[in-house]
Amino acid sequence: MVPQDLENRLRGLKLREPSPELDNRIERVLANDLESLPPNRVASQLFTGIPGARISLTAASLMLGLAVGFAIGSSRSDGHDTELAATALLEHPHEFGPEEQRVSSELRLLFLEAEKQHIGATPQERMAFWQEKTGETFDVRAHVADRRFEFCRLCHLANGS
Amino acid sequence: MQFRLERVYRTNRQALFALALSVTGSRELAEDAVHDAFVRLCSNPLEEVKDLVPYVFAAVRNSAIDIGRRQARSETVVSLFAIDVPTSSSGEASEQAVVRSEEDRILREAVESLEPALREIVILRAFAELRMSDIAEITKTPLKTVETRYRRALQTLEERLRGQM
Repeated sequence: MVPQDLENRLRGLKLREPSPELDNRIERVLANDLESLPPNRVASQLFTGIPGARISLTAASLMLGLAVGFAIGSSRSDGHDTELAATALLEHPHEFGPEEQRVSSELRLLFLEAEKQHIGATPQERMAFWQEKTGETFDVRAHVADRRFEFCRLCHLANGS
Repeated sequence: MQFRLERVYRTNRQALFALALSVTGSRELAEDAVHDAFVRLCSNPLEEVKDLVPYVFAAVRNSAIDIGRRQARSETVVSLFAIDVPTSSSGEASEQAVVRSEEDRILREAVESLEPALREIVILRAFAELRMSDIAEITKTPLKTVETRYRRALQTLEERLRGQM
């Protein structure tokens, strides 16, 4: 059999279809078209499914990671990096530009909201808890609009918040 | 950009998924890898990217490798292929269909049992129909090596087919 024939035979095989769920997930990602949105709009748009009264530290930490990721243009997705960037932004906002400082102040409001709800754990502890539960590195962008984000929310709800 | 990305996904969704599946061995992880790749693609400026198709394949491959590093590869590896059941009809046509189906089964299994470096090149070349130079970039492998691997893969597949028929 000449290579061309074999190639044709291969092309005649039918590859497995991804699930319709993946199509939906990709559709949602593309619909959000993250690159065209400013950080705060990205965050608020992606969290529209979460009732306001239930904003928890989880949501705050997710939003923080997301906002920091976009605001400082980080391409790194490692959870530890997100955590470090988040901490730096909250603790030393003056070292960042005005846009980042504005995001920082919005995030502070979220944390205050979380504190009002008497949620004790820090975002870092939440991230660590989530990583321990799932065995995955925390990557905020990967958890938005996907089934693992649902799991993340459930996980935290099950843990008492 | 959204439109370009969407078109790439719609046209290549099976091959993208197959590539991720080939790396992770798990349907769920493969879908996560494709999803994660698109999330990252959406957050990167892509206007400068001339040929988006190989770029997207590279993103999915990298994402699948990342996920594969974090998660143990599934012991039950999911098949890359959908299985066609030969339609029942009478006479010679039916017999040919059965033979053809058996050959396809052998070919499917042969592709799946290729070593990963060869298998991914088969997916990218035979199914995604990408240029060898694109495959070299996607896999970060010298062009000559890609060409040699592809020839070796086809040779292996042919031997398997000949040996089992």
